[in-house]
Amino acid sequence: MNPQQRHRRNRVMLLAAFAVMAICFWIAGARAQQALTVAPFTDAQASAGQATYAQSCASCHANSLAGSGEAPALAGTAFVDSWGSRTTQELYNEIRLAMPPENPNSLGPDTYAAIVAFLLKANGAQAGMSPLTPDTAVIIRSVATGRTPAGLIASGGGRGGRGGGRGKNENSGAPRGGRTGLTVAGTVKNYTPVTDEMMLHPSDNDWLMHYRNYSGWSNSPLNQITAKNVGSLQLRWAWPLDEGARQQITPLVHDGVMFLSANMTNTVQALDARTGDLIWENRLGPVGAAGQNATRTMALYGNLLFYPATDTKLYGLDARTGKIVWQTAVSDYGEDKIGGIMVAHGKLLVGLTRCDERSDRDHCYIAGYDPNTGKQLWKFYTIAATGTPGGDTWGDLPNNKRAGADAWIAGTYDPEMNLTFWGTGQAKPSRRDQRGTNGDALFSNSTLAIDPDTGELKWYFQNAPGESLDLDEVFERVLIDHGTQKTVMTVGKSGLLWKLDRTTGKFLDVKETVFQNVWASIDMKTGRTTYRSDILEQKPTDWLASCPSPEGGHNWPATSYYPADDLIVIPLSQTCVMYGPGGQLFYEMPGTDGNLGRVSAYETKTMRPVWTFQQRSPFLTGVMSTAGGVGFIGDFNRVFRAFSIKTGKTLWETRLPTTAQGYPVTYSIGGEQFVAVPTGYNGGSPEQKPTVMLGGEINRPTLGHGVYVFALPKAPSEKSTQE
Amino acid sequence: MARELMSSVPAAAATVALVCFSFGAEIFAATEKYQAYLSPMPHNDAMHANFSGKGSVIATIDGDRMLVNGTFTGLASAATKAHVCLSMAPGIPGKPILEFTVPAAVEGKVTGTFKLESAQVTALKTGKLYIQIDSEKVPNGNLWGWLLTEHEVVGQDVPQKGPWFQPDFAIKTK
Repeated sequence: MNPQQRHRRNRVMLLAAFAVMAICFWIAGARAQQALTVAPFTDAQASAGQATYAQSCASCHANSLAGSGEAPALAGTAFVDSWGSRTTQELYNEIRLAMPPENPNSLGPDTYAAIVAFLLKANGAQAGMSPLTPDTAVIIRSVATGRTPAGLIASGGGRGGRGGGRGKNENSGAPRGGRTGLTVAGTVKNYTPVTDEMMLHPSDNDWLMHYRNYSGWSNSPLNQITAKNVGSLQLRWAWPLDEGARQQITPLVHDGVMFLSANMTNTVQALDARTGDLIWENRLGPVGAAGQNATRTMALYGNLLFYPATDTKLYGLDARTGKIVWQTAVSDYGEDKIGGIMVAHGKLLVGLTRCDERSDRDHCYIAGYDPNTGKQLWKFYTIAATGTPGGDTWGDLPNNKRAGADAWIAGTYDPEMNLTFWGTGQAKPSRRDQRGTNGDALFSNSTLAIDPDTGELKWYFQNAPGESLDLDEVFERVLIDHGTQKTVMTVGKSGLLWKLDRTTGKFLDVKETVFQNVWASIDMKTGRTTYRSDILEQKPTDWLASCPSPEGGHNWPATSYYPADDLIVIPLSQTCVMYGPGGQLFYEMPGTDGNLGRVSAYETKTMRPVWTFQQRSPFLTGVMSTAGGVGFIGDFNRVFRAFSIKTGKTLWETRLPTTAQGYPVTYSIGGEQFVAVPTGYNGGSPEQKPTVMLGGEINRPTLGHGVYVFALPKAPSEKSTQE
Repeated sequence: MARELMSSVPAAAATVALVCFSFGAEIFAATEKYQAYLSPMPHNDAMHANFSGKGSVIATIDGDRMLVNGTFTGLASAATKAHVCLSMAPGIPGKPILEFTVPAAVEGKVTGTFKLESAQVTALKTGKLYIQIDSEKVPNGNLWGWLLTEHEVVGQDVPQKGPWFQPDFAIKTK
């Protein structure tokens, strides 16, 4: 064979090899195609699963299966990236053992199998003839593409509607006798309208707003209860609230009347704050539409009590009678939720949250309303859109892909500057790799200074640029002055305690309150934080470690500022998380010796750490401090305690029926000081993470929403007089 | 001869004492303690039952020698292996670099002596080493705990005055 013949023969063989390979690829492709057309479930099964999903899963994972907050996406690329290489059996077991969060493994094997069938169908798998069983183990990528069939999911794609509570217990709070409306009629006698002057200088006896004063101190000048006598506190009265949903309320107290709400049924009540007698009750409804949101705040102004219902209706109720004076839909997108509300400079300010659908029209905002009519006056979007200031910080991401920056915590207010200070949550999706931009994503995770009259943004400081680990910086903005220096302080989920100049937003100082390993560096001149390199370079398949976890660091349980000693007292949590394909894995924070809960006090002028105490159980109420030198806080393990603000030493404690959850308040009637603490269960990260980590160790009842009111023992003469 | 010997004894003793003293001082100066609280490795609800247990470890570093002593308890299945692992920072999983034995039980003692390379000593001193115990049900790691500078561990609810122990991670720049 000459070289030419050899060359020709080689070419022929090469072509033949290519042809064989092409045929092989074609056959493999055809097989793959065939595999994608037949999946191990039936249409009937998927339909049943869809119904269960709407009832039990959509409130967290959204009707669109796009996920929300901490609930991961269950359809699309994110789902297939996470679950594609695993089997249907693994998915079945994951769901069965973990869901619904408050009552795992409660739905039965057929129901769990049906949910998996629905998820497969929603990810493009074609139904076959055989039903899916708990033993079916098919690689998910072999049957699912991540492409949702047209028409399978209702447009709008929000979270679950009625009955879409989180698990069995969230649906257990049926309205009393099915009645709605003004179910108990009554009138508060001698009610004094709440004026601007009262808001600026609240009566010592009242707890008129979320943090008691405009500066966000959660501190009361009452001093009847002291370190010396707090040990004799007694339960004076208690009041149950409708069960279900997330109970994290702040009772408001004015003129001896306590206003409460239960968001499972959207019921608002007025009680005699001395005796616990119900004065009026309005069951506004809807029932069971709470989804993934707690109602933490109401507000008072004039003769009105403002209530943000879970269907984004904002109500102005007559505080004297509970009758509806006005109502308005805060968002035309019904799956959104109202976050914090407050009144400042005669405007009702409202933050919008859970507005994270991927659309042009559904973005979070802070808005101003006329408190007398409910008419919207202005709106500040917390997402910078293309072509607006800060819009370039989202890179090329179109507006309909920009989400998050939820305003889910109420703001504070400086009347001299006429500025209101709000925090925002993280950009969404939380992870940069899923979000599709490495930009700073303004105005997510920022401190915003806004004119309450116009909504004009005066300045902003981004506490966590380009956040990527679901670590919100949305929490209370506490206003503290040191001589002429006006500061705003806040602490976010990453545990950084920030101090800013509130006239300009200039960074002043920062302190790590718990161990953190997400910020590799902090520029102490500008406050600019920079992530660890593996977070910056993350890919969807990467597992990322984050200390703290989304539980925080700090979370919604608010700090308290004790002015007498210039102390900010901060409830903290000490857990970490591994984020990765398919979910989150939790663990204890290094260096914490098994203590998930911590309370720490810092002197704000110097940022000097003054005292701390830790315990196994995390804290799930805000801190409330009083001029008697006593602080109050409650925890996951049902303990409500009083402690010395100066030292952190426990002075008194009692056990409650379930987790102390919400914001403790104090008030005075007839010269007698009372302390009230809400109880509740269900919640986001601060409640869910410990539920996993302390499972089998701390067992809590899944009932017990309520309010417990304590006071010092009555003097014998006083007792007999009242009896 | 005897007298010479006799006279040289104190000198020799003094020399030995001096050497010992110097050596001892060196040892004393070089000995540092690190402590780890062992707790369950990352897990979720579905995995929780298998991830029980806790423990504590003290590591004493003497030059390049590390002595590890500790206990563990409450595992859901018998321990199988123990490792010293190297990570990027506290709280971030790394890889085993050294192994030592553990009793095949749900509770017991862990001990090990290791000669560390200088980079490993540096890693220890910067909080990058952790102890990991595997078990039958969780073969890739049941308990772990970072070896951190010796610090006060107070009881539950006991207040500590500041500044208290907290590992540092972020570099503060100006």
